[in-house]
Amino acid sequence: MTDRMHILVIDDDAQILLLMQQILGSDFNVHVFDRGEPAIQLVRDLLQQNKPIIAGFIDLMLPGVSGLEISKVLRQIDDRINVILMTGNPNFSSAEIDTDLVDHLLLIQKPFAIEEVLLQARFFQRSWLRDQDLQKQKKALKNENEEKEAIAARNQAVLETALDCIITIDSQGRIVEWNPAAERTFGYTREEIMGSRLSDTLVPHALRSAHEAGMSHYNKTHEGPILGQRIEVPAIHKTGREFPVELTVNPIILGKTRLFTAYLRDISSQRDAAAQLMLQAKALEAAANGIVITDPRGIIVWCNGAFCELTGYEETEVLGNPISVLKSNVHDKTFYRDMWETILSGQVWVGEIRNRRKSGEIYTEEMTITPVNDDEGHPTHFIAIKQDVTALRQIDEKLDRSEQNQRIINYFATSLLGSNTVDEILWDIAHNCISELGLEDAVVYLVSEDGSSLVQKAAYGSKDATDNVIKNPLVIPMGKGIVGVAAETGAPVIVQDVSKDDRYILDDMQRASELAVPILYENKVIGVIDSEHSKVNFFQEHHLQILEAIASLAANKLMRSLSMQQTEKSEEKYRSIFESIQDIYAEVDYDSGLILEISPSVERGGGYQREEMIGKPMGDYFDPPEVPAALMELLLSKGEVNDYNINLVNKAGEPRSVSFSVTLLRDADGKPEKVVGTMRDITERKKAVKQIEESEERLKTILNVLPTGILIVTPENGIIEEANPAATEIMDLSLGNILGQEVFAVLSLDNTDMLTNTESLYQEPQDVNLFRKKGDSIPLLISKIPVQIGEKKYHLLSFVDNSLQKMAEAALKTNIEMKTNFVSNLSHELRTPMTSIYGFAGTILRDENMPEAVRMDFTRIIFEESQRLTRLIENVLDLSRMEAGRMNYNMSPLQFDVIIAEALETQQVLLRDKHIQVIQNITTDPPLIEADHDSMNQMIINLISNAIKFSDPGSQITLGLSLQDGRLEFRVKDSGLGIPEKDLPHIFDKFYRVQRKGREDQGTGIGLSIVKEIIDRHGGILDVESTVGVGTEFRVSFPLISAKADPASTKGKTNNDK
Amino acid sequence: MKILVVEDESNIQHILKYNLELDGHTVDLASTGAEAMTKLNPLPDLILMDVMMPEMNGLEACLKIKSDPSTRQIPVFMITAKSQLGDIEEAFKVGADDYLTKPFDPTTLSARIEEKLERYKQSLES
Repeated sequence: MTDRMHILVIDDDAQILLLMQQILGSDFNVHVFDRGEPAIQLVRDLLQQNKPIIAGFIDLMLPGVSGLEISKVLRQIDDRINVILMTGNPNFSSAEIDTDLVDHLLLIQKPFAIEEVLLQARFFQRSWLRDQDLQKQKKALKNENEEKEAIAARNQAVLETALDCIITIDSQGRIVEWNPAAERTFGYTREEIMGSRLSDTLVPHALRSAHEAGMSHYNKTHEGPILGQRIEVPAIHKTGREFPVELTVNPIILGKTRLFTAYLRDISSQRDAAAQLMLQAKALEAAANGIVITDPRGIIVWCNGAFCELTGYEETEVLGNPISVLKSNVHDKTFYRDMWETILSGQVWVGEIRNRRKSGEIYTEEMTITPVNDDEGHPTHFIAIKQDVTALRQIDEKLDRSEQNQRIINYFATSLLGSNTVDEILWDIAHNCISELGLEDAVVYLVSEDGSSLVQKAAYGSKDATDNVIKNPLVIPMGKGIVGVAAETGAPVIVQDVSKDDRYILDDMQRASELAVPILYENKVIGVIDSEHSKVNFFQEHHLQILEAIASLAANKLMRSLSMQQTEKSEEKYRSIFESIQDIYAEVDYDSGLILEISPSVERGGGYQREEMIGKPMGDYFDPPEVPAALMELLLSKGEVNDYNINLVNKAGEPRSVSFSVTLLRDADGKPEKVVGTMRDITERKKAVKQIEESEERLKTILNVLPTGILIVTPENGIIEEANPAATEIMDLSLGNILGQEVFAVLSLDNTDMLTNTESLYQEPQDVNLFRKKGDSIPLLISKIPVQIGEKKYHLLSFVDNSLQKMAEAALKTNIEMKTNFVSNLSHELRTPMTSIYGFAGTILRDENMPEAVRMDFTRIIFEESQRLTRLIENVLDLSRMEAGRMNYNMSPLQFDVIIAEALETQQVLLRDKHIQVIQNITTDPPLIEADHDSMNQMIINLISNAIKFSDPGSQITLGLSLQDGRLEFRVKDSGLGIPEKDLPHIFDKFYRVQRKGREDQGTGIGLSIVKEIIDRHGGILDVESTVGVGTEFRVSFPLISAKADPASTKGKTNNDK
Repeated sequence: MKILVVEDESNIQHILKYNLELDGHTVDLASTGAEAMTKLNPLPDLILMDVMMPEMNGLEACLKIKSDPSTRQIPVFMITAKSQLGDIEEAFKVGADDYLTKPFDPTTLSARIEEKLERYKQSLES
């Protein structure tokens, strides 16, 4: 493979450079430049490395040196460079370019088509290659230069030694050239005669004026009747002797100069010689052989009848004409050159020559040429004696030919046996045509699939095919070119001279003749074998015959191979499908259950070998084997079963689930023949499905037991899609009333922000109240989470019943409030008695003249208030102690009636003051309870004092003590003010005093708190009943201690006075 | 001066009345805010108002008195048991003109009242 050729591109547009590189880069070495100077340097360098640039694409408009200038310089460096000027100017014409440059320039307009560029480049490449080839051929001949010189020398020698006088005169008739023969013939030396006028010297006087007239006529009109004609005229020797000459005058135009060259020959002796010869020749007249006599130039001066018979020409037709009229194209120049050299040197030439008859028929003759020399030894005539040996030769040839044909055809047939693929066949044909038939090239085309064109498939010869691969296969449309015509007509076409045949597609190769033979298969053209030759009239009958024979031999083989190719292709396709399917495809014989065919994919299943399975019963591979029978039954009735699941155990012992999709095929009689279909291992899929189901189960379970209410809502329309049991409970609605409803409708909240906010963001839990159907409302803590289930997006509302929380909060708040209140109340409670004490004492001190009674009154108040204050402080301390748990209770068995009596004692003063009567319903010998003596005392005192406080003067208080429901019950009842219902729950609160109009409450407000605390600590139960305006009853009950009562108590007096 | 004392605790009523009368003032009594509203005609020169009272506490009564253009000009001193800033603020919020805290020294009571009144009158002029 030769190096890629080098191409130059010079353009200041970078995009053009890039484009050109793209277009040409794959086929050529592209050198791009934006200016000329480096390009020029490169050309020089490459030239030195013997890697010349074959073509340059040069932008016309370049900054600095113009494209034109660069082209000139490049051509100066290497005039082989083809220059293509690129111009964007549509009006630019080549007229503006120097004439001597324009021949080597091509102009293409920008924007140019890629194909055009490529075409040009390739064209240059080919011509370059061709030139290279030619040069190589020439170089191969060692004597190239010598030959040139030899030719030149010969030419010179011819001039020098030419028998003819060669005289050149200018338009004025002056002699400007004079050869040695002329010197000899006319006696003038070159020096003497140069510059003299012809008419003055050589032309006889009588003819001078005619000569002059002819010259001037020619000068005027450029017409010269004698020009180019062979005429016999008298001429004068220097000595004045007149002698006959035969002359031909030709005009020569060198630029503006017109010259005439005359070829003269002294025919005086010739004539004589000829005359002599003629006599002799007459004898030869009758000779059977063709005889022809020519002068040294080959002009026929005499011929005999046999010659005329031989050649088919009449005597008159040939006399005076060159013998070359007989020339056939069979022999090359060397042949004739050798011949002439031989005879010109005075030797006899003997040989066989193929000549052409007048009819055009080529014939073979044996010929002897004998030169006749003059005294000086120069030939004056040639005598050629011919013997037609055509017939002989033809017979020989035919024998040879047919042998050869046979041999060739046998050879072809044999080689075709060896070729199997279409490509091999075609290439064989191409190769063999060249080698066996001596063709210069052979190309095999195949008709395209759509029949519209012929595609080059194999080519051998001087076209660009090597290694059995065509890089750029030629495509010829049907009917175009010789090839196309042969394909269209189905008949061979021989064109002996393509220049004369307009069907010929001109390409760059110098072809002269062409032969195209169609390849026919059953009268259908499937291809063409085409050969071109550099000589006209090359192709012979036998070429055609052999090619036809080859074509028909090949046709069979081709068709078979082509159709095999087709089959192979589809087979390929099916095979690749077959081999690549994931599922297992199988065919099972119905009767025997044997596996007829199974796809390779079965081997993926673990441990199966396809080969060993074929022919074995299908049941061998199932566990249990009876299962296929059940499937078969189904098949029989339905003919086709899809997605039938079977659980089987594979060869590795693993249980698999397999899905079968099979069809029952019946034969022509309708009898079941085989079962075909696919099976797919769905074990994994099943597993996956199961896993999903299990997850769903888990999820459902979680949702069901979750105490948090969950609603899944479609964001766009607020429809509830899902609700868990907790939700239904909290909302106090049935599932049916929730699902499908709008969330606004069924979840009535006091704050619908959570619901209305359609943002798909997590919403922080919010405290809201839910209004339920039965009219109540419960606090909820609700939050919203956006979720995606599958493809869809939802909002998930989750909420909990926040009641307990709220209550705890409320309790805490209350507690805090209470504590705060406690402190402020305490300070208030302390201040109040202090105010009295301070106030009254101050007033006493201030008013010196205070009446005694008033003073006594005030003092008493001070005293009482101090008491109150003390009590308060004590009570508060007690309460604090009790609450802190630091109260020490001394628990011991107590007799309650005793304690009652004790307590009552302390209240006697108050009782008397208020004239209140105490009624006692106290059981004698009450059962003992376990209690702290002092606490019990306090409790009773508080209760009784309260009763006294709130009773009207003169009313009654009843104390009761009895056994109730296994517990000891103590009761204090008054008929006093009573406690309003709204205050009842709060009476045990610290500092709680019932607001009464107009009545002072002397109490501390914590008496009942202490009572409650004591009862709680003793495990007692406290109860109160009250009616405003009627009275109040407090009831306290304590658990008994077991077994015998111990009358001896460690503390307290036994008081039997009641 | 005619002073209206509004206080539900009889002891304190007593102390205030005794001492103020000793200082030469005429004292009228009311036990609740509501009752106080009935004793505004003729207008007293000063109202001493306890805060904690049933049936309209002192703050409410003060607000009422100060809202009514016919009674607005009567100076009202609140009697607060609490001396915290918040409570004093509350008193002023409802329009009280000054305050006294319990327990108060009866010996200096009048003097202090007169002093406050003086200041009040001055503030009116400015």
